[in-house]
Amino acid sequence: MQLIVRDAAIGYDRNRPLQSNINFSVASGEVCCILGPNGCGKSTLVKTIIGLGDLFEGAITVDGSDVTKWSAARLSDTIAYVAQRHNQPFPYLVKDIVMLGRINKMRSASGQPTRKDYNVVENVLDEMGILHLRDEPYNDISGGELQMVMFARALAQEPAMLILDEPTAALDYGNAVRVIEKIRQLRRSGYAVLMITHNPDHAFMTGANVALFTRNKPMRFGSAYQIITRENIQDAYGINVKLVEFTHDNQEVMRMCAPEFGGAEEEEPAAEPAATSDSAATCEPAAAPEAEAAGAPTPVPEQPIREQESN
Amino acid sequence: MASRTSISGGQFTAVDIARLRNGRPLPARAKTGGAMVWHRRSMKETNRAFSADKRATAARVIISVFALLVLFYFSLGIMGAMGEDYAYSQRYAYYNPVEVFNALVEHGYNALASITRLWSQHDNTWIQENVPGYWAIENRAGVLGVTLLCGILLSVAGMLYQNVFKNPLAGPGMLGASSGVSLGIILLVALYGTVALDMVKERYLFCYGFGALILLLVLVAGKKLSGKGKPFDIITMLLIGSIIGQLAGFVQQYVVMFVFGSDETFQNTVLELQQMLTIDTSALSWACLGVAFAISFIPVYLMRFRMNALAFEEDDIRLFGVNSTRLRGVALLSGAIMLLAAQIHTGTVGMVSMIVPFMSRSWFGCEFSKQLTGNICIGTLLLLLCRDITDLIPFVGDGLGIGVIVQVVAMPLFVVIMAKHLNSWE
Repeated sequence: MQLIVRDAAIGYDRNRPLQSNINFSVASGEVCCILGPNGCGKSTLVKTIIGLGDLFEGAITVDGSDVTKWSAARLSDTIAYVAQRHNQPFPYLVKDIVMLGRINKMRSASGQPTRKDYNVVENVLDEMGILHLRDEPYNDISGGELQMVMFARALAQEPAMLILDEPTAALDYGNAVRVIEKIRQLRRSGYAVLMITHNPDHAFMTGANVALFTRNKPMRFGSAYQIITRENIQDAYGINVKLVEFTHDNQEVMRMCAPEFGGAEEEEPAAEPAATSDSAATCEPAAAPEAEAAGAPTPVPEQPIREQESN
Repeated sequence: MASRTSISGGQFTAVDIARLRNGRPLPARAKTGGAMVWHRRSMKETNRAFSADKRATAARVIISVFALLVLFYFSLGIMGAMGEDYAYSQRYAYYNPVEVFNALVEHGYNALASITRLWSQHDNTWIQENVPGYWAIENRAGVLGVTLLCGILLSVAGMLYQNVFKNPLAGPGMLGASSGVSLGIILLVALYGTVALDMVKERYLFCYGFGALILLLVLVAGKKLSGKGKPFDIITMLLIGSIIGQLAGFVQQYVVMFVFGSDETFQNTVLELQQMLTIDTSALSWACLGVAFAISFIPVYLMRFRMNALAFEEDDIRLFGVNSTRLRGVALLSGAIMLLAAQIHTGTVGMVSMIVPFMSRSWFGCEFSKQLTGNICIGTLLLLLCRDITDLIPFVGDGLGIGVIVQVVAMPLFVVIMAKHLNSWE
């Protein structure tokens, strides 16, 4: 399964689109992080993909089929969406919230859950490590656990693609790391994941491609190593960062952004920490494995739009 | 023992991923869509967990039904202001449980006789001499039956509106249907005077007609104002319902002030009709109530699983594959019709629509099917209890309206609920 956004223009006013010439793709087994400053159109783009916004130009296709013409039922079969925030007006039990992900499997309005649906719900809860919360009210659990419940609800839909809107917002550091670990597992399991995030490090952590939006420049798309550079971060966020790379004990190479605070003439530079035996931190940005020019995006594959199939 | 034959994560090969990228199905070992295969929990374990859940709900239903049957049995003997002796001696006619039992046995005897024709029914003279309260209890059963149905309608209507608006204080009168009932009653009395008390057919025509008219106006105006080609905007409908309700109220006030004037007879007639001091148990009443119940309750019952989606935001509901506008529309309209029918047949009753959903969520749970079951059980019990209290209070004239008693009974319950949920109140 592959989602391709080609030459898209989005926004709320056709005469003044929020973003234009949007080109990126995400396929099964890939993660694509959407980065950019506040108000640049990240959430608008996601809403346009899931049919809640207007597409002014271009095309959004899944395996050649125009997504904007899909019915809600067909969309829910392919894409599951996890919102940033969740209102909890009533104390539904966790299992009942996750069961809602099975609605799209019931074609008639009078459909009721079957034993198979119950089994899928239990398995999803177990897979997310929250089976012990099955009979708990979902407004009595922590923020991290709630996010896991929403993940479980999305996975119960059995989609091919997950769209996550700032999945680690309002989570503490530990819960945020757990959510990122879960996204890594989902990628390894073959899901396509499209994620809005404010943290460029998430792209490195998940081995993602990056669609970087800025206010006044065209969007850039490519691997995290290609796109997340000092220059591009400066363009997008107006801050200076240094890219550092180190190796975990499990030999996984990790790159992260370290923001630079203040100017050289304002404060004494901090003493460099002594290198420890369990990490190999470098202060110089390492060359990308592919060694391509910074900012040069990976070309989005050509894919003709198929005739709209009857739903 | 849990099955641990899971296939996920690193067990997928590069070939599998390539197959997924090309849109081709995975090998038979991977059964579910979205590459992750879960076989961690066996069907037997799942059945055990959910059977326990269903047993808990069934136990609550059994307790509720038992309580309802007991209350119904004792209620059959409470005649209230309908009692033959009350109007003149200010003493209630009531029948003790033994007399109720005898009357029920006699009804059963005669019913079996008419069905099987193995023996003949007792004649009226014999019944009058040997089974006191035979007809009064039969009539009382009809009154209680209407009360039970209206209890269901009121509580489910409140539940629907609280779910749609995700607000525990939302009420089903927000679309203005109850204003239509009041308007119909006032116009009926303005046209026919005190004779309106006996005009059963006309009463239903005016009340249902004006109630339906207001609902139709809200729908049409709401659709027009939402914009061409756009779905219904719920907030727009609510605003229009409020405006139309205010207009209806204005017309009512005008009629009362300038048509009725100082004539208290007309005003008393309106009050009696609005409070439904005498419950109509005629065939027409049952037919109207039955039709209203069917067209409002059946869609809600059939869509009871989908209605859980009302707990989510608009965007999420769409991503479930559900038409959120249609779902909300069905819930709002069904709730409005339920309130309309309940108000016409049992008078103006407040608080039930707000209190019973609270109690139902606390005892049965928030899942819609459980909530629905809970509302049916608790709504019937509460309104039946209020009916009995109403008919046990000595009151001159034709008695007391049930709405007054509901306010008195429901208020302490509401305070208790508030105190219990104060910390988590939104």
